[in-house]
Amino acid sequence: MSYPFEAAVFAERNRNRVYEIVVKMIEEAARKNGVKRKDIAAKIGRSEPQVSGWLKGPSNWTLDTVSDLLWSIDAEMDYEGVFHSDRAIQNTYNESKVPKERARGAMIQEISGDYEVQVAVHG
Amino acid sequence: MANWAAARCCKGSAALVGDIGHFVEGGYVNDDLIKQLVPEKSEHWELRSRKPKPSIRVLGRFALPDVFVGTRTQPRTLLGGMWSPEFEHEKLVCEQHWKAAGLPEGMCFTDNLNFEYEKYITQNASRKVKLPK
Repeated sequence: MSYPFEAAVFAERNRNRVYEIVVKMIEEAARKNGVKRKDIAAKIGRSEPQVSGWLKGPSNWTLDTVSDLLWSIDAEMDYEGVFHSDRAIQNTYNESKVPKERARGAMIQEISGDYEVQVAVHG
Repeated sequence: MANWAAARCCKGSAALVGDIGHFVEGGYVNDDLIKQLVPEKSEHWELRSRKPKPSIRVLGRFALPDVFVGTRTQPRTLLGGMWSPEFEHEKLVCEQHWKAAGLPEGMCFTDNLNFEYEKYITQNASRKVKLPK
């Protein structure tokens, strides 16, 4: 049995969302409480390079990474599950539902010419 | 051709679509996800999807603030090291696709000599995580 493509897309999306939440909380802790990288490393018994690597990007994160980083700044995640069907606008990935004519938010759009390029608009 | 969503064959391409989706949704972006290549004056960028290995790169340029145009998708393993002939070739391919698509040659919204990440991605972005050592 193969892993569904859509599931893998959703997993990556989730990884990026969690990374955003954690990184923003750490930046806030740095602004408000003067937390430094070495403080985080010391509190969770890791090296500074290890912490730097985690903060750079979420590709090596596990659930423990999320817990450790938040615990180091006296914080935690607040979890709530939501069914897609209960959302006003569903967050499921569906290529066919992306209207091409909508520039902002459009994921894929042909431009022109013999060469095809792809456009991604942030925000 | 940078048909990001076309190769629905493996977890790597799914991760790339997920990363692009995060960008499109206005999620937080730093140079781990999208990075300007040196020399900055050439205006080459790469969108990086690191896991699973081999990681994938989408080379491209910004046509406007927040508007990234990907020109070609390549596995990182095919690009060699920094300044390798393969990587430099890919930059030229990017320019070729850019030109052929009729996109503007000069970037009017940036100052090449004073690169600032936030001029390209204007919201919810910073080049690095802001945490003192």
